Amino acid sequence: MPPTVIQDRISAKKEVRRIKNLPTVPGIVAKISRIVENPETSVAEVGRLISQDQVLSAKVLRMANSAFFGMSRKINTIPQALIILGFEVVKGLVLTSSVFDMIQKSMAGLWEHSIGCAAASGVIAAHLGRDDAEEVLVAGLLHDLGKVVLALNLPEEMRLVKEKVENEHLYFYEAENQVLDFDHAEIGQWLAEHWNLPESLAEPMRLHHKPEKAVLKPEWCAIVHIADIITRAKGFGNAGDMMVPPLSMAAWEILGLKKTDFLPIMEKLEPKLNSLKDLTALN
Amino acid sequence: MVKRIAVDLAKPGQVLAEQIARQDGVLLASQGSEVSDALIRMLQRQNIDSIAIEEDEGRTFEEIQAAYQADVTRMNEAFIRVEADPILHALKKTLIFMSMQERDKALAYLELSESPSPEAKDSDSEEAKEEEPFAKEVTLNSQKRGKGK
Ligand SMILES: [Fe+2]
Ligand SMILES: [Fe+2]
Repeated sequence: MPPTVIQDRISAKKEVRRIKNLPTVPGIVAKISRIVENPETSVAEVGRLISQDQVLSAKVLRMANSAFFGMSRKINTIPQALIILGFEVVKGLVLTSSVFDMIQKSMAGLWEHSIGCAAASGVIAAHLGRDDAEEVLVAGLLHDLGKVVLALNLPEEMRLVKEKVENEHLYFYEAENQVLDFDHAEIGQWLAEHWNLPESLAEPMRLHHKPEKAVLKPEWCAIVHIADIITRAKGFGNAGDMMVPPLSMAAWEILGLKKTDFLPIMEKLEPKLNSLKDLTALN
Repeated sequence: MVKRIAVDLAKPGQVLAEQIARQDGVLLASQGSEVSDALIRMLQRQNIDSIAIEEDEGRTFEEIQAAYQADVTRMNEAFIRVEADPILHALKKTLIFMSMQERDKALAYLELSESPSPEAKDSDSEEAKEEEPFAKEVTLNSQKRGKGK
């Protein structure tokens, strides 16, 4: 869907026009995007650019060396990370590191939910034998960013949403739709466009609760959808409510999963979740 | 269960859940090996600050049971709106068996629920089992404890 259509549709709704502060794309991410448009740009140049920000680089390296990727050798520098993990993955880590404070401040438990869902996405993708497991992991990391925008812009409404979740046993997205007439998934898509994220990352942000509607990367949306379920089933983090959402049969079937897959997936995920507790304070 | 701890807090006898490698990739200790005083001193010299250990060492029966009970209570609430979904029910059962440290039972249950025979889909008998996992749980764990000590 072209961005204008979505923006028109969203701005027709009652509260969304009050969202004025769409977080600006982190400067460093904008710069990276700009220099890689030039096909002459080398890995070393991108590496140098990211390494200039030492605090940021340290955060990115901590994530690169975390249980996420289960590297057997330590990644010591950003250029190494670029070679081993690939450009898109490092860009995703840079983006996440630069909005880390925002995620932490906006909603208690959302950061943990995000890294849990990222790890689960990576584990499911690897279990399925996919070679894009690291990229799917980044999709899992970003999937609920729309919640950050809502928390920062509409605190009053979000208080109402939280009340509804508690009193009426609603899922967070159901309460959002009742209060606002839209939810974090739509805002996530909007944010992704504003930040010029690739459509393959925007789609799971928009469709992780309706993965059957995906057209570009249905498998990515399906994996993030199931990873979200698993993270909630494990009680890792807090995404606004603590309940397991309904499973999309289309997502289950497109991945060809069987119930017997749960055991190896959970056995691989559990130690990762335990060591990820290290990442809960990235500073 | 894997737990990451500071090297300074490591104790001899703990089992490494992950290998330990130096920054340049040189292996210092392999996964599954036991922590010794010598290893702790060596890691401190190498400026390694944390290691992953198998956490179960030292967990008492009471602690395991309390954690299991808390897991079940939490999961009953978490799955409250999806109890009717057979796939998510299988996920819940898997997690409950894992919490009981009954890997083989989880596998047997999943294989049975995957098979197309009508018996496997008999949810009544499954529910009945779920009603009182504790009687069974206590004996299983006390056997384990008996063996361990
Ligand atoms: Fe969501
Ligand atoms: Fe989520």
